[in-house]
This record gives sequence, structure tokens and C-alpha cells, in this order.
Amino acid sequence: MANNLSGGFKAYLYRDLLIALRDRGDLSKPLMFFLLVAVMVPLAIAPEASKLSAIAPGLIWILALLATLLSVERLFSEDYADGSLEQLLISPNMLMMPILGKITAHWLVIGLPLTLLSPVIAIWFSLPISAMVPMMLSLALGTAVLSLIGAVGAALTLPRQGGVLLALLVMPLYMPVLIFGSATIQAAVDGLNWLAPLAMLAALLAVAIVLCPLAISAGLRIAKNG
Amino acid sequence: MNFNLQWTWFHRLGSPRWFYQKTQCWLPWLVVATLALLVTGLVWGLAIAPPDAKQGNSFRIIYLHVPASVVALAGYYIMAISGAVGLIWRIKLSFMLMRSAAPIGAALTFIALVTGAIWGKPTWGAYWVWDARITSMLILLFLYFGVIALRHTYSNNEAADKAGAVLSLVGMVNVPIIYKSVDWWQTLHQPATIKFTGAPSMHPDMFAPLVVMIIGFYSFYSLALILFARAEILRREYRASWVKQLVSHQPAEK
Amino acid sequence: MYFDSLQQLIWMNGHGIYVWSSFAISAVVMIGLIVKPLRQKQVAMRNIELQIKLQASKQAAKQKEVADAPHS
Repeated sequence: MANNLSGGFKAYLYRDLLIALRDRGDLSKPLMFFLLVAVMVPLAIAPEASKLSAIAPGLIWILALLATLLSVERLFSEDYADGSLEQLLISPNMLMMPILGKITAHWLVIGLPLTLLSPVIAIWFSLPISAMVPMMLSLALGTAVLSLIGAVGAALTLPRQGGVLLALLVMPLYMPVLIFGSATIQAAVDGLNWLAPLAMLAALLAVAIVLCPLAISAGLRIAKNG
Repeated sequence: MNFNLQWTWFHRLGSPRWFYQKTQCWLPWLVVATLALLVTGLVWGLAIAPPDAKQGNSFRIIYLHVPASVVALAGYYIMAISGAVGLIWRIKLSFMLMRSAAPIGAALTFIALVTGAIWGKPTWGAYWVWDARITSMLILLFLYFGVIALRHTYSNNEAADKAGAVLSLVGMVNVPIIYKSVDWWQTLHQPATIKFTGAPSMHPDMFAPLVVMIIGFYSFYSLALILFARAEILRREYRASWVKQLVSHQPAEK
Repeated sequence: MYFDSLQQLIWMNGHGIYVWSSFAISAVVMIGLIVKPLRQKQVAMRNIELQIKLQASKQAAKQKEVADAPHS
């Protein structure tokens, strides 16, 4: 019986990381999507640096959002299918901790690589160097929020996965993150104070860490009992 | 002793049968009140009130747009709170109200968006301007669609109800966040925010019919909610003996 | 009355089409919001009626069986 609060957290963090690393194909798909769509943008719009850099802040963020959305569906689906979700739900740990562990693993595997890859896209879109650090900070914090909110959607749509329902549920909730994330980059490009929108992202992250696990555990219980 | 009586009252409130029978009595009054309010407000606003100095007569769309927006937003809260009550106290009727609230709210949001767009054309020359209010309304519409769509994911009613309640609550927490962030986003890009209603700065001759219309829309919402809820009760409680009695006493239904 | 004639009311200085189309769309949706649940209630009642009839006929059939079976 785990007495410490963090017991469930570390256990599920390591577990999910191990599972993700064993199946590297799953890992790389959202990142490939991120890069591929980024390549499509100049092809569809224009290769001029001026045009690209004008839309770069928002576009980088939209691409990151879509890539995260693609990856979030699988957060609970395998566990739901093979019965380990039941194990999770009857374990003596507080449900919050295993859930946060899984989501942290998800962020380490999706959000963090996205953040690290983003300078490549920034260079493709002629984003000024001064905006690089703010961009990466906004992506690091923002993708964490996206993982948390996406997990809520994943938990609520467990019985019937696939299809656009998850996206439909989660997109309206993603919009504040998108607004503040792209505003951070845009402010950095314009030479304005980019710490303010970044602080809002941090606030969103704090709220999400506290509230999302509640909704997620409710959703998981409903899926199991339903 | 007192405690018992209190709980009986509370749980009787949650009985679908009680709701159905009570609303049978209230409905005619509610219809009269709704019609009276809406007709009064519309005639007053469309024909009697003076037009706006800048916008001319097209400003009269306000008498539809603002009440619809207000009630659409309030409706989301009603839906979420019904869901919460259902989750906490396990009151089926509360879940039925939540389910009924979703399509009504979505329809009102749609009205708000369409009337807002139509209003935009004579005012600013464009059918769509990404201002904070309209953008937030659009996001609200998608929040409603999400709740409506989620219901079909679950095959049994109980799970569908609970999931819908959770989603509505998540949305409810998000609505102020969305409003604030869209508002902030708007001020970044457009220095002059165009206000649809400067309520205090409105002339009382124009403001009074607006109040009547808002109350009228709330009345309409209650009417629609009760009608949807009654249908839902019949659908779900078809096995109950009071329902069977009710139906067999009215064999002449078309 | 702000407007002097019915025609003025409809025309509204050129803005009439906007105001009246808003009114029309709102009216259609709101009437729909009343009609739809009423129809749903009718359908539900019809289904329950059918169910009652079905049950009644099943019961009648069962009673007939009991009456017809030879008494042991």
C-alpha cells in the first residue's frame, strides 16, 4: 500500500514513458505531422519571408495544438482496452497522482519534443531570433496545458473513440491557451512585454493541474461503470 | 423530525412525476406570460422606440440579439448547474433538465450569432467582424455542440448523463476564461472596440423595451425547457405506472 | 408610434431587410424550439400506448393459454 502521495505519480510516469519508448512509431507521428504541415504552409501561401514571418507566431501555435490534439486520444485508450484502467481505478493511490503521472509522461513524449523542434519551424518561417526563447517557453508551458485539457476530452470519449468528437469537445477549451501562446510570440516579435501573456499561460497551467484531474477521474469512472 | 420533512420536500422536488404534474398547471400561464412579454417588447422596440442616431433603424436588431445572447449564456450555466445537482444528489430530474437545456441554448446562441452578423452589415459593412462578443458566442456554440454530441457516445442513459454533466462543468469553468482571453486578444488588435450595447449610455426609451425582451426571452427559455423536459420524462419513465395511467386516460392522442 | 405608416415600418429607411430578416430567422428557430418538444411528447405517448396494447394482448394470450390447457 503506497502511503506517500507521490507513489502513484512516479510509478505511472515511468510506466508510460517505458511504453512510449518501446513503440517509437507512436512517438514520432505527431512530430512528423508538425513538421510536414509546416512544410505545406509556404507551399500553400507564399515563400516570401515577410509573409511567413507575419503569420509565424499564430501558425506555429496552431501546428503545435493540432499535433498535440492528434496524440492525446491514445492517452487512455490502450489501458481502457486491456483492462489496466480498472487496475488504476481500484488502486489505493489517490487517483490524481497516477493521472498526473500519465499526463506528465505524455508531455515529456509529445510536448517537450515539440518545444525542442520548434526552432526549426521558426527558422523556416523567418521568425526573428529574439522571439525564439519566448516561443519555446510558451510552447513548453502551453503544451502542458494542452495535454491536461486533452486528457479530459480523452477520458470523456473513451467508450467511442476515433472521429472528431474529441477535437470538438476540446477545441473550445484550447482557445485561451492558443490566444496567450501566440500572443507571447507576437509580443516578442513586436518588442513588447512577452512576460505578461506567458504569465497567463502559467496561470492556466496552475488551474489546469488542479482542476483537470478531477474531471479526468470522473470521466474514467463513468467509462468504467458505463 | 424536521430534518426528515426537509429531505422529503427536496426529494419530492426531484420526482419526475411531480414535475410533470405541476408543470401541467403552470404551462398555460407561462405561455401567456411569454407571449405577452415578447409581443410587448417587440412592438415597443420595433415600432415605437426611436432609432439610434448613428446606426439608424438597424439598431432595432438589438431587441433580438442581446436577449438571445444573454439567455444563451445563462442557459449554459443552467445546464451546468443542473448537471452538478444531478451528480451530487443523484437527482434524475436534474439530469433531464440538463439534457433539455442543451439544444435550447445552442439554438439561442445560433440566433445571437445570425442576428449579430446581420446587424454587422449595415453598421460596419461586413457580415462578420471578429470582435470579442461574437467570437465568444461562436466558441459558446461549439461548447453546446460538444455537450449535445457527447450524449451519443454512451449507450446507457446514466453514463451519458454523468459524462454530459462533467463536460458542462468543465465548460462552465472555461466560459469566463474564454471570454476574458478573447476580450484581451481583441484589444491587442483593434484599438477601438465597438460596443453593441453601452447599456448605461442608452436612452431609457430604447433601454426599457430591451429589458422587457430580456425578461421575455427568459420566460421563453423556461417554457421551452419545461416542454423538452416533459417529453424527456415520458421517454425515460415509460415503465412507470403513473405514465401508463396518463397515456391510457388519453387514448385520443393523434 | 415612431413610424407614420405600415410601409415605413417595413422599409425602415432602407434597413428594413436587415431587421425583418433577423426577426424572421429568430421566429423560425424559436417556434421550432416549441414545436419540437411537443412532437417528441406525442411520439413518446404513442410509443407508450403501443407498448400498453402489446402488453395487454400478451396478457390476454397467456390467459387464454391457461384457460385452454387441460386441467390436470
